[in-house]
Amino acid sequence: MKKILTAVFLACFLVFNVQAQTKTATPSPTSNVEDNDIKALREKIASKVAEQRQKNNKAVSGLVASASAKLIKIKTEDNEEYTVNIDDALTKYYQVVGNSRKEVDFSDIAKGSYVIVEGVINDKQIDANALYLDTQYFLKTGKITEVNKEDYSIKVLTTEKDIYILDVETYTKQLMLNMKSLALETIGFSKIREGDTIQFVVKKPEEEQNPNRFSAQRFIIIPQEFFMK
Amino acid sequence: MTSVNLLTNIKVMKKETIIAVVFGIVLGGIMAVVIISKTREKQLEQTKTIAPLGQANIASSSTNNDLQPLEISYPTDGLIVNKDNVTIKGKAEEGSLIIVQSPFKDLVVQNKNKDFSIDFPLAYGENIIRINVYPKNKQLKPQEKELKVYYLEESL
Repeated sequence: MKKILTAVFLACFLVFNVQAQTKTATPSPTSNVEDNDIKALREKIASKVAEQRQKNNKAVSGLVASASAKLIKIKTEDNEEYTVNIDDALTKYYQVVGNSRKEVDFSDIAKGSYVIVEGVINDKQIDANALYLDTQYFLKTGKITEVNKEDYSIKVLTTEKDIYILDVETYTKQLMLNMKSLALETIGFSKIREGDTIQFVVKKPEEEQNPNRFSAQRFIIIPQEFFMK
Repeated sequence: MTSVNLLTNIKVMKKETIIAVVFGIVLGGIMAVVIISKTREKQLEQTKTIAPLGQANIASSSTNNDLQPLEISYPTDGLIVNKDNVTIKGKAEEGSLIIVQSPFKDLVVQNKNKDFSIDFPLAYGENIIRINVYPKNKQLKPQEKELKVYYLEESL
């Protein structure tokens, strides 16, 4: 008798359980509407967040002057100092690698690193959403004052009256403006002359060296004849 | 009778003398005024010659009054975009040569009108874009502008 009762109890339990499961598996029309509402609300919030981000989010780049757990100070190229406020839960750290990014740790951001800080900027304070470690470049325009054919270097006097020595490396992209077609053509070192105008790109090395001597990444030469009537 | 005539003669003479003296003073005054004003004019001319020379120099070296200054309306400096290209819009001198340079790309455009619109590719991260304008009239000074555009994915 006991066995029959246990069997009946077990059977009832199983039937009830299966029924309950099927009930939750089949979506009711009301839950469907609720799901759609939630989805719409989520999309609305996401678009609002994106809109706000577009409005308030700006980026500033510079060299890290100091870095502590909650605070980073950066100095821009114009010698402006920004205080970067870090939020443990929100702020993310990346390294720019080629045409994408790779997540890194806070410990990778050291003094002297070149960073892009993305976040909400208030005066000289930035509430950082993300920090990107990137390569520092600078672009200048000037006149060639000396061409050294022995060590493949060019001396340039920039429009800001600074003097730079550019080393032309095998990887340097050397371009010259064609006077007739006004197109850019690849040239060799022998085509560069004193008096020509140069627009150059330089990668700032991480290690401190001669502050006025760099390896040129690429440059455009505008022949002096271009400026003659 | 003769004495009376003499007296009247003297009076007439005195009148003539007085008139002559007054006339002399007035004439002298006019002459003095003319001389002073002439001297001043000369002095002014001398000072003026310095200013017009300078102005003439400015005019001949640049004639920049009529030059359309380089203006970039888009993108603004520090802008974040989430795609790998940007359309640079602005104004520059008609017929000038525009060279757009970044660490990853160089582009040369000759603008036919004052307004220009240039599609420029971006690399991931920071893009320093330098825009140099070389006017058609070689006597005019080239112009340049630099801006930073960040191509970043959304991190939120």
